[in-house]
Amino acid sequence: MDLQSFIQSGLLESYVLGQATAEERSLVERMLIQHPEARTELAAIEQAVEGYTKAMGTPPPAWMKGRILDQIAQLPEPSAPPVPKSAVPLRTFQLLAVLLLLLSAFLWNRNSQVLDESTKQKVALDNCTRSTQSKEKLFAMFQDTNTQIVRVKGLQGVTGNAMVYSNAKLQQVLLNTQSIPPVSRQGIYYQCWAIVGGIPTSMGMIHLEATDGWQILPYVERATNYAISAEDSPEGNPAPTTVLMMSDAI
Amino acid sequence: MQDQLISRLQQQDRLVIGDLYTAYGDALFGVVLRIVQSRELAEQVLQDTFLKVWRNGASYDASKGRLFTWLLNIARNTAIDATRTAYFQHYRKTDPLDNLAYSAGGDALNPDHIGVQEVVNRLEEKYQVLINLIYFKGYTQEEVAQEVGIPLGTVKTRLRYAMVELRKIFGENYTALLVLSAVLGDLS
Repeated sequence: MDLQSFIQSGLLESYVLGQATAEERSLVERMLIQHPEARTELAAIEQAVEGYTKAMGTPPPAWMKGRILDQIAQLPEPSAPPVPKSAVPLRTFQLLAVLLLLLSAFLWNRNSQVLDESTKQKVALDNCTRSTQSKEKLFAMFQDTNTQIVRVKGLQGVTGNAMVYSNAKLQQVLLNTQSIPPVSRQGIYYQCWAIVGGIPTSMGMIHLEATDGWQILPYVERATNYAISAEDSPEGNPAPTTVLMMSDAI
Repeated sequence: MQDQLISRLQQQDRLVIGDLYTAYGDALFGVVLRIVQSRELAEQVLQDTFLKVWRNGASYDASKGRLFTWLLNIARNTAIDATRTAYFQHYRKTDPLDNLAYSAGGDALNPDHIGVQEVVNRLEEKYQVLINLIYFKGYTQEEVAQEVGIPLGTVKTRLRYAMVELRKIFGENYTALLVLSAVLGDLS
């Protein structure tokens, strides 16, 4: 294609606005490499788009910048992180490693106490990982066109809602716990259910202390409703004791 | 300065996002707001945009276009995708009052700004329609052809003319004009 026809064609404009096809993008990129005039024209188009966009600029809320930087700080490195240089000299590290091994051996002999400890640490680590993962999943869920949103409403006397985001394709469920009322007394735990063919299937316990109020739950096929119940055990029960919240049929 | 931003972005320096936000946050929020027509959703989309900017920083190629264009298209695509999700459909049902507040001019929201809509309204209607469909709604050229009832070839050339007109208003002279009016504003 000759340069002038190319410039008059509107391909550069499409390219800037992100609407060029893959083939068109290839052509544009070739022309940009070969012709400085095409590059000048591109820059002029981009400048106008930038001017137009800036003219409609609106300041976001003051908290936004900090929130974004915090979120980025919590995300994992995009590529494999470099092996960190140890600040501890190797000899000391080896000594510590040996001591640690001896200590572990000692502790392993004390069965029930060890199990409690390692379980607690595992839960803490899981919570940390879960928090990072849930943010990424959250963004993916919001953007996916297959995501269904279900409002789980408080039943008589129970004020509050829980929002369930469900995606059959991604096989994921996210629960927003922010509007779930706190438990009425100590010793009560919330359990989440999917109703399948009239039968409640447990989706697990709800953790109200989850950061930002988001919790990942397992996906249950053919759920017709979601429900939340009050249970007397932190591990929940095989069937709901007192149903507090229920969604309409999905 | 721009070169530094670019290299830090490509190395996925987390702090460069702060600088990009300072430089371009207002512009990106403005367009996102006008695409999704809801403050709450726009806030979500803007956060998502900057996360994507950071995550994909290594793939920005300066030989293919300016940094702002790359940022803008991430923001626009994220916003346009958001309008096609179940969340958006649900949200629009529950908060209809929010919808009408944000038009491409937004003069009610930003009295300090030169009336963008006023200025764009001077363009011929067929160019305004095109800009609205492509820039704010993310229509492909094919979709525009179908929607407007013109051949695909006409879409491309009409886009060219529309942008030539836009350049007369918002090109190099516009930036100079902004600087000048800022300076004059300080003097008076």
